[in-house]
Amino acid sequence: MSDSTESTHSSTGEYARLETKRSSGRDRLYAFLLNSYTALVVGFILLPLVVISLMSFTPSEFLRFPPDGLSLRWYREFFDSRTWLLAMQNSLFIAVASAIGATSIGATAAFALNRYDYRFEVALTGLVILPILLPPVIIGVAFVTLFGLLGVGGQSWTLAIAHSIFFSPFPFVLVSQGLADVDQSYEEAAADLGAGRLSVIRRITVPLLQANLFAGALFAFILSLNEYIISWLISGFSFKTIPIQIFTSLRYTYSPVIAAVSLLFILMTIVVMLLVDRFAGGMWE
Amino acid sequence: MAHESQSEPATERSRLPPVKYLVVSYPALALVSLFAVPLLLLFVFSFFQNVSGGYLRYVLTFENYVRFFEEPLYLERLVFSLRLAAVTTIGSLLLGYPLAYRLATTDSSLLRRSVLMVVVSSLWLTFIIRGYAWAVLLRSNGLFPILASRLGITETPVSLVPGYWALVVSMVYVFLPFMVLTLYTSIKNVDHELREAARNLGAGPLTTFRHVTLPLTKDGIVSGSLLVFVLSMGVYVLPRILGNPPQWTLAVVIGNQVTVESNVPFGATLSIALMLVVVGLIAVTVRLTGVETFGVSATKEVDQS
Amino acid sequence: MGQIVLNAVEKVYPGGVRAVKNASLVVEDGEFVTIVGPSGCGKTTTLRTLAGFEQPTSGTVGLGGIEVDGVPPNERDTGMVFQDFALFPHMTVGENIAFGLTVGGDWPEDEVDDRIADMLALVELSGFEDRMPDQLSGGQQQRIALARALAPEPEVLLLDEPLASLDKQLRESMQVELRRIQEQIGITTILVTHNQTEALTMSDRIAVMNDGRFEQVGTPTEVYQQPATKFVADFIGTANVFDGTVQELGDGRVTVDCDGVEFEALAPDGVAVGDAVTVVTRPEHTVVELDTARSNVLEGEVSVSRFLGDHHECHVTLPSGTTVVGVVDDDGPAVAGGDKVSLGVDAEDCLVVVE
Repeated sequence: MSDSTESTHSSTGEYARLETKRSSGRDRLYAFLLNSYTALVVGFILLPLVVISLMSFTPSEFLRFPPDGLSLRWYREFFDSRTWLLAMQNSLFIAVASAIGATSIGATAAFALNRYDYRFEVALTGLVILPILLPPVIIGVAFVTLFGLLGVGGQSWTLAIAHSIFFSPFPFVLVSQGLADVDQSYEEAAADLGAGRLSVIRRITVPLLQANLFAGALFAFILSLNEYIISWLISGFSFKTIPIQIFTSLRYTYSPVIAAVSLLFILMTIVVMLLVDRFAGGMWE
Repeated sequence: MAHESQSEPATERSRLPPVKYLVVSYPALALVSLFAVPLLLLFVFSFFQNVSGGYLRYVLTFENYVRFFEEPLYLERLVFSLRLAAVTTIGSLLLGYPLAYRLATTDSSLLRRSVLMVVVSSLWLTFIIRGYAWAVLLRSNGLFPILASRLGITETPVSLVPGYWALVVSMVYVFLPFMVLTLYTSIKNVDHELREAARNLGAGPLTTFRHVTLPLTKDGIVSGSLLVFVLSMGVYVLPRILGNPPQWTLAVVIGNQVTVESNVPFGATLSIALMLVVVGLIAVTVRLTGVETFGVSATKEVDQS
Repeated sequence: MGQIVLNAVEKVYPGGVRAVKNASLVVEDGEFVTIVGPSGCGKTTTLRTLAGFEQPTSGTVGLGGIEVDGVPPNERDTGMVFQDFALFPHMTVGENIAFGLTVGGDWPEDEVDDRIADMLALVELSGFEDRMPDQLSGGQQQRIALARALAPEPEVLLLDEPLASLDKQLRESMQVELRRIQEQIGITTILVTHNQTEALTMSDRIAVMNDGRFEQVGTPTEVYQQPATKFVADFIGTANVFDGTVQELGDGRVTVDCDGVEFEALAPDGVAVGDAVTVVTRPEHTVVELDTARSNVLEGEVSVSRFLGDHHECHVTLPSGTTVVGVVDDDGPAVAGGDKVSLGVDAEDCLVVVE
């Protein structure tokens, strides 16, 4: 019985002494360049945000960079100000309403288009996607016209409706993706086992799509929270959301309160992002 | 047929329209009444006459469109918007492709997820905050001008805000994530085995990129560029914060018309013009390159799965 | 000079996974060696290390007499056929084949077209220059991938499970084709596969790999008839494996007690009474017979009896619970599930494996 290591020697005995060939090193150079560039771009993306965050802690009235000390006075000013708090309240309510509205429209449309055939399929798909293609200002003007005609100008619930429509493409795309991934055989198995159509939707489809639905709602929520132009046009000075308030403040001053609000928003966004990642993290891969 | 028992509602179910129409009615109605209709209204309004003071005369006229073409300001703004969008697109492509490439080809899952999260998070922040951040960085006591004067590039810190380049920088900054995400998906879809095969056949890293990766990501480049271009055309906030009137886009002018000037009909006209340009661009690009963008494609082939 | 040398190659991944452990192998110029083993045994990692897509943690790799550590894949003289073929979808067949000549190398233009034609003739797909990869069948793509790898005249050919995605009939004809082409050109070749039939039929030598180690390297006959370890015996072909202890030793024969069953076999070198060994028999030598004249007899109950076309296989459960796979001759007894039968194995056909 031959030992396995013996047979690795060539039949002519010990293997020939090898000369060495060295690599040209080009690969490592390119890898280094690419990595440095990536770091620079990531730095570029983070820089403004870091700067603002730092600035929100400045004790002085003006924006000084580098800041001279740490202070929470601007956060206090934010939480003490009726104007800002009211704007925050408006923003949050509208965002929640928009999230619900956008998801209901987008998800239903996604479901309908995925599961059934219609003659007007292309038209409907185009209509669902169109809102994000058009410059928001145009949509804002269109809604102003509509609401003006209907005599409901300047009321905050109209903004919720506008946002629901404007942001419905996002849940639509996400749920469509999700439906494409969900194997229809799960639903068929359920039906075969006796579940009625509504039951199937309730117990099989929706739970499987949970992540996408949640992600879509979160998308709409955060986008609504941050949206300026449509909000401004529709509000017509009669109510304010945070973006509107920020923009108004910017006209007169660069007060660090804005930096404080910005950081709060950044944090909120990060939390939402982490939530989305936790529930539907596979999306990014 | 067997006679149905009395207790059973006769043909109640068959009188309701089939489920598939019920399901689609909600979104369809919502979209049609709250989206298609307002747009149609916009179109109609663009033909109305405006009377100063914010009143309208419900008379159909072409005078708004005539004004758009005759008064040089508006076409100027449109051209400026196009130029700005082009510069932004090129800038974000040059900046974004290497980043997307690194993300798509790295083995480190941690790197990929964290950078992607940073990119996506910045995406959601309101333009206002991001524009404001650049205003702060580029003002006379901001980081970059101070750096420039320390390095001797300028004598004293020169404020770049408000100004064209501040606007461009902030626009590239704001739209970069869109480009990166689109390119990332596209690059990721190129089977890494293809790159390995090219390497095995003697192609170095740059050659492999040129002959394999780049051609195969053509679709992603077109998609991403179109997306950034279209979004840039509609930007309102950034020119307001970071630019003077010479740097205002058509979107800004529209906003002014509707609010400050209280001239909704003309605002509508400008909107229609802008919309036609944007939609036209999308249609032309999709037709010319055959690339599928936003689910719209040039061919109606059924997806074979 | 297309000799390949792996010398004590180790590959440890960050996180501690040791994919390849102390692997040493010499492949002579023109030889066809197959590295065979179960999924995850490290064979693909070894191949990729040869190609330059992985760097060994320690040990050296030599190609054609040159140590190539740190040398990137495009600077090595290897041609690789990937498992999924990796044909460039945006190029024609001709452009794919020419890639290694024009882009990856600098062949003079006037010779390129001839070379493409020659390669297509070699794989019997002449005239396919202008087709696109997605217009080809699986077998055709395979052959084009081979043509592309061979076009730049590499010193070494590396094949990563090339036949895995083909159906049975195509696979078998491709096995023959691949070997024919390799012999015609005379290029040093390493094939990686989990399919031991491929290994046995195509190779000059086989390297059986398990858990990162080469368990045995030898000719197909050696590996089949004289497996060095229990794993090799089990992996190559079907085997009945019995662990036991040596009871008696003498006259060139050995008696091994395996859980109550006694085997008489030819004594291997260096074995002593009391040693733990493994007795291995092949089904074709383990025959269900009524009056057997063979040295060893096993008795048990039939659990499975099935006709496989070229032979009749029988699974017999022994009283100890072990299942033995044997065959029934054409003129043997009719056998059905539940029958009590006896199997005979000659001492000469019992392999004793000492690890």
